[in-house]
Amino acid sequence: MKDQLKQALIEGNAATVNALTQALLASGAGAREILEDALLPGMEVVGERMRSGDCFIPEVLLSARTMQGALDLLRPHMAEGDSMSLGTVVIGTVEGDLHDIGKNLVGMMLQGAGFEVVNLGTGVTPQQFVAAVTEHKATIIGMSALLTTTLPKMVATIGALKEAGLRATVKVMIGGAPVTQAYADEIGADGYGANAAAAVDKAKALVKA
Amino acid sequence: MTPAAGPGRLAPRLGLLDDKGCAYLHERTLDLLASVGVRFASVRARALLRAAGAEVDDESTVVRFPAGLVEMAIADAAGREVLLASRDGEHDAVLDGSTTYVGHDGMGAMTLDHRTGERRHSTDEDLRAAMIVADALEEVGFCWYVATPNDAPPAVQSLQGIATMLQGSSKHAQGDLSDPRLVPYALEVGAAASPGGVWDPQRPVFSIVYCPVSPLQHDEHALDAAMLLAEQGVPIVVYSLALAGATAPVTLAGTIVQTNAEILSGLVALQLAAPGSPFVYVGNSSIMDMRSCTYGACGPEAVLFNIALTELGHSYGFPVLSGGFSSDAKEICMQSGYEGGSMAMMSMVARPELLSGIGMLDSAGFLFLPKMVLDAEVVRQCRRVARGIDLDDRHVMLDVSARVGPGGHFLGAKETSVFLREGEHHAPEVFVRGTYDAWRASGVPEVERATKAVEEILATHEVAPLPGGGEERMRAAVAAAADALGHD
Repeated sequence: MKDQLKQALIEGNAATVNALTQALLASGAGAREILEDALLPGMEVVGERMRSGDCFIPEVLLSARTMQGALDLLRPHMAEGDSMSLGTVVIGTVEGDLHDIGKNLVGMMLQGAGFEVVNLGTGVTPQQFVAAVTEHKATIIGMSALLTTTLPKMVATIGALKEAGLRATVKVMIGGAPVTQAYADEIGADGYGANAAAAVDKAKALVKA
Repeated sequence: MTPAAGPGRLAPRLGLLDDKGCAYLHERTLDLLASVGVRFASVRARALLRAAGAEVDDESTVVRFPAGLVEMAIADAAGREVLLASRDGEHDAVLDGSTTYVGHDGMGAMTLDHRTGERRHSTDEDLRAAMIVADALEEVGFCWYVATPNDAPPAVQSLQGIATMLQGSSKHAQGDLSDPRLVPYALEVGAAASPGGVWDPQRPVFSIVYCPVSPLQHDEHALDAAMLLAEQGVPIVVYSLALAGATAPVTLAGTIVQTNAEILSGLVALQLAAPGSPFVYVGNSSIMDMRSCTYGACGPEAVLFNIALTELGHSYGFPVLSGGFSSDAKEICMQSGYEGGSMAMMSMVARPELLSGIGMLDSAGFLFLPKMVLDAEVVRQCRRVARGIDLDDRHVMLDVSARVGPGGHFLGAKETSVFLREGEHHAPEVFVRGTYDAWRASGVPEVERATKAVEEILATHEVAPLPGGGEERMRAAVAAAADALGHD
């Protein structure tokens, strides 16, 4: 049944995934067992297909959404203190910029990979980022910008995190068309993803580090 | 029997949308504007639209348009001859449908430095160099904001861009200005480049590309700036940048309708703010690449978008800007040549008044100056095709055939030279014909030839100076704007 669940998740078939998840729970399988033996391996396959260009982004998102549905079913069955999440990522488009499609895509892909995502939307000020990191105990903050003129807001946000004494506890990731690895290095960010898939890989690497 | 008279010059024209196609797309656009509506963040635009009879929801900021309001705005702006004035008066782009003027691609956050091979953030100097090359190339008819001056304070970068464009070339500058507070400074910069140092609304030396935010949204500051500029005679080019499948429906038809709705809703606001103000429709859209989640600017979908939207814009009676030359490739290669060339050629025979796209690679990601020289070669080829074939007795040359006779040759006929001088054959300047051995012997690869041409232009080309004190006035205007808006 776990193989079927994994396969249904890869296909993004929400009805089957929900039914199989409930059936597995009813048959006595543990929530963590279902997560680790079926759902996460399924998303691994989806991620691999995406990296190799064998599937389209909307198909990946469908699997990611389906995964969320299954997680909602598993959550009440998780042992106390046992988290299903790889960590919490606070994401937003920086102040002065209202482009959000790329950032939203990264958010959905991170959720699919097992992160909790708090999406602050667009035009997010350094203070709002700092407040959200504190409130949600974020492990990663992801900043996006499309306009070259708003790039300095990334620097300002990193500065605000330092001032609030949070820089050591939170990893900083940046992305967007004008952003490069060199820019990430220059401003002292911990990670950069050239696209959504690379951002997810980077986020996973950062929480493992 | 008298011989039939020749039909004269016949030139290729693309035909994609017929009248029925245009009418259908227009109707669906009106449906979208009336039912779904468009979000307007600008308080001023919402007030104008409400007063004109649109249904405005101030909470959601969504505006729904009665068909009559859209059609009135189209009627107000259509059929007008838009002038993109050059500062010297000798390089005016008159958008009367007789000529396709070619301009840069834009706007590049990055530049691939042809001297170091490094891709880095663009600077004001990159923008200036791209203007000087454009000034020197006869094939370029107007300038675009092809590189962002990242070394200028962020708040005034777009203003610095207009100043640098007007300094670097005497051709018309089409820039960006997304902050209404910059408008007076931009007009001062424009005045400093205008004859007599005075802004002339009849002869605008710069125009603005205004971009709605897909799907179906108008930004507050950018639209407020565009409305103020339209009131001063600055032509506004409304450029919707939808990504089919992500910020627009995945289908070409759905994206065309949404693109049209975004442009027309912008037009209505602009015409209410400044009735009869000069307006340019943009016949271009793009897709999201569904494997890499990146902007797919070029390829077959772009070709179809360009043709269909150019025809749709023309069906309304607007001058149209379309795209070509550009590529999603990261290097000069077969992909860049094919994508850029096929888009340019197809767009050229769809006959837009403006055709942007030279000088960039990586989906308009970075400027690469030598590509301007290579693209100029593509422009010449496109122009030759667009010119078509002269069908008349002089060009059929029966008289010369009689003189040469069977078995003779045409090399010695004086008409051969005459027609060559008239441009009957395209003569490549950077591209290669001739023998393999000659090519081997020259030993200089294509990109190096183009790079050499760029260096020669930069070393020798002299740009006509601004009117007296122009540069100083521009510097002062940009500095004053930075003082007012902030240096970081």
